[in-house]
Amino acid sequence: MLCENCHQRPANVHVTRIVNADKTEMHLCSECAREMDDIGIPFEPGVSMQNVLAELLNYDELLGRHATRTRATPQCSACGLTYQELTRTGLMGCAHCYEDFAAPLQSLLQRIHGAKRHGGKLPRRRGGALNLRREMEELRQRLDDAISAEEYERAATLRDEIHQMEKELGLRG
Amino acid sequence: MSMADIIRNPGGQWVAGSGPAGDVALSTRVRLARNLADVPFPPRMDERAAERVLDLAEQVLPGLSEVDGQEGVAGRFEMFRLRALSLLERRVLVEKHLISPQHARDNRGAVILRDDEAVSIMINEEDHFRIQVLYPGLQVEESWALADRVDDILEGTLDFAFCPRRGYLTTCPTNTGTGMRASVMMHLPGLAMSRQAPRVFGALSKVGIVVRGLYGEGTEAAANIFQVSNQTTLGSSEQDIRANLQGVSQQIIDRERIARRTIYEEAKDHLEDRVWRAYGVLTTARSISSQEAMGRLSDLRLGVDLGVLPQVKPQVFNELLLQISPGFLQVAEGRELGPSERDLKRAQLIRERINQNEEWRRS
Repeated sequence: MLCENCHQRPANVHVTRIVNADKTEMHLCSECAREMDDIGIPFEPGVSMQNVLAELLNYDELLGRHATRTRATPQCSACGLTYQELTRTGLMGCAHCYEDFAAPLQSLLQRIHGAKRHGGKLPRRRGGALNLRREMEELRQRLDDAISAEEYERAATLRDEIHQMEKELGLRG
Repeated sequence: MSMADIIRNPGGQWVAGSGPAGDVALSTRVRLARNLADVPFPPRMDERAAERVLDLAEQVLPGLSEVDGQEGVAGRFEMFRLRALSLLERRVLVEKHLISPQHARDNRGAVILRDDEAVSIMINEEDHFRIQVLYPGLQVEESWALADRVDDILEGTLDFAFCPRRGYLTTCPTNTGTGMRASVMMHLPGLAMSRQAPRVFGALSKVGIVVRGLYGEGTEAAANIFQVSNQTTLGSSEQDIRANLQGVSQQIIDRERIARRTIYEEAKDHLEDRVWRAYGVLTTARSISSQEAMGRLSDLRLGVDLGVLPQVKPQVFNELLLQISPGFLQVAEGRELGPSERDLKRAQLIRERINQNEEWRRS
């Protein structure tokens, strides 16, 4: 058989690795085995974050959570990544994949991060309008809170601020 | 600044051992993952697209020199295509934590380095751009500030893949959102020796922190060195993630210091024996494996931090950790070495380096 790393030389080093009852086997040629050992980085096929993600995606599919949606979008319209490849590698193909595979991605992100929505930095150059919108959301929330607390004066001030921003946003489009 | 200089020079501020909480925290690293909006992500990229990314990277290079160096002097940035580097040179870059092992294996990639090695930008690794800042000791905010600035400079010219809902769009969904992985490298012999490590680390996952070995995902904790980093990247702000990491790191540092003192007070003889044995082996052995060397160096460093070995300087640990790695050894020797030759060279290097410190002996 051929070395699992270079796929060129014949494999003559066979490594069996047992970690906590999980057994993995690697078949390498002597050069690649020496190289891997030298760098000190264990070469572990089959144990990677990608496979874990792929499992998570397949699990959701199994439960039929978004079965109908994925049949509708089997492929990314920009880079051609198929849903099948995505579940196999766990890696996105391009920026557009995030839109085309939005449905399965939603639950996956929830499971990985415990969240679906970005709450951090916005790109400085392109972020202009986005910054405003986010501020507006926050103001609206504070307006609701003020009304609930019956602080009508504060609510009025906030309302005016929001109107001001809406005008600005309207101009920016 | 040539590649020859970089791989020969132990360099990097973290090696000098300075930095806040340097007795426990060796270095802090902030990494930002960014992709371009209109180019397929690296796993799906063809040769032409890869070249295009490299060309764009060359274009941002001049703009980077605006980022101030430590002394307020503009740092010098240079780009190196991995294709042009030998396997040995790449290996050293991995050992210096400037590129990842994965990156070293890929010929389509490049790396942009600042001359003080505090900033490194991997190009065409798993994502198009991976900005990394590496500072000594515990410096989460400072590392972030520099990475943030480099990110802004890049974004001034490049169109990053970003959407308001998901944040920065990374190749692997585990990095989506902030695209930020912040980590602190710590030397924890106290916790390891008192067997508290599993309990402390187990509790960490509940607060969004994950612990790994010296070289990241899937590696073991050689020399009692652990890497503590944030688990998730989506949902929280960068500020919250950093504050959490800072808080957790400080707690681990406090516990480590207590563990060290406790061991010293309650098992002084045993500890001193262990430390002096390490000193004995390291200063006299003729051949030593990487694994044993790391274990002994950890004991040595503990001895230094506890005042048992006042004659040895703490940064000897940091320097030797790097210098005894296979790639670095071979570069220093100027040729490739087989495993047993390396063991000999390693022992020699360690002997010379520690004995160099021996002022008290000569007097």
